[in-house]
Amino acid sequence: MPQTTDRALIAGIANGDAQALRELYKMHGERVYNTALTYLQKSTDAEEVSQDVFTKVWRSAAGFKAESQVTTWLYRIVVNTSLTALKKRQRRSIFGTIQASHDPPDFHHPEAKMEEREENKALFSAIYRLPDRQKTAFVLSYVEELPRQQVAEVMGLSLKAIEGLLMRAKKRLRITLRPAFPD
Amino acid sequence: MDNIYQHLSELPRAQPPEGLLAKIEARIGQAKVVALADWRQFAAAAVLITALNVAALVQYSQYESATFPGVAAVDNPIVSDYELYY
Repeated sequence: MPQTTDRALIAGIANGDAQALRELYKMHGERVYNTALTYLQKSTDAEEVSQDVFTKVWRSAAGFKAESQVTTWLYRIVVNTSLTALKKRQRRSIFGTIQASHDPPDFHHPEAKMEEREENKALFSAIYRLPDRQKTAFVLSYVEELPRQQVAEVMGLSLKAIEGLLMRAKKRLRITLRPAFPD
Repeated sequence: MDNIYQHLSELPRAQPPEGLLAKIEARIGQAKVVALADWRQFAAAAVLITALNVAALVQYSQYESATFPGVAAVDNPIVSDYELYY
């Protein structure tokens, strides 16, 4: 019963139980880090966002509403925190603090096979360039492989809206990725 | 496009860096300390402002009584010798 465990952990965190936070990290740390990594495509930034996410969980566990799943709540926090971090990065890019050529970053997933790295790089770069809502719908559906209903709950949208966002995201990716994935 | 979805679904999750949990715990600990420090700083600032106000009031009242004593107490020859001429 993972939901019961998750909820018990959140209740523990709300009471200031540090061990409950460790357990929650053990269960969901990888999920949080990987989602942030897909958005930010830089391990140090994904690490920073993961820290922010668990700090927010620690602070706001008391306000967790039991009507949604803990994973849905966690995904909502990680998506919002990642999008905020991306906006900050774009602002820094506009003001010249970071080079515009590093946005999107030169990234391939650390677990990609050597022979697939170029394709992987093109794919993640194309995902990075998607508009925010299309990106979130795509990342949650195809990278995190969440059921559509849960994606809708995370994004606070209807199923129909999610299908629409996915259709537009896939169309855009198809155009961008045609040279890298000719089949 | 099917290749893309297959590629994504076959991609294992990346491992978070070794010390991530320790950093999270440190940040949470720091947040607590900062919150406490903020409260203490706020209290110290309030005490300091009150003390400065009290000191200013005391000093002002001392200055007032030294500079402007009661009219009866002023020994002013100009006033005492003053006469009206019609």
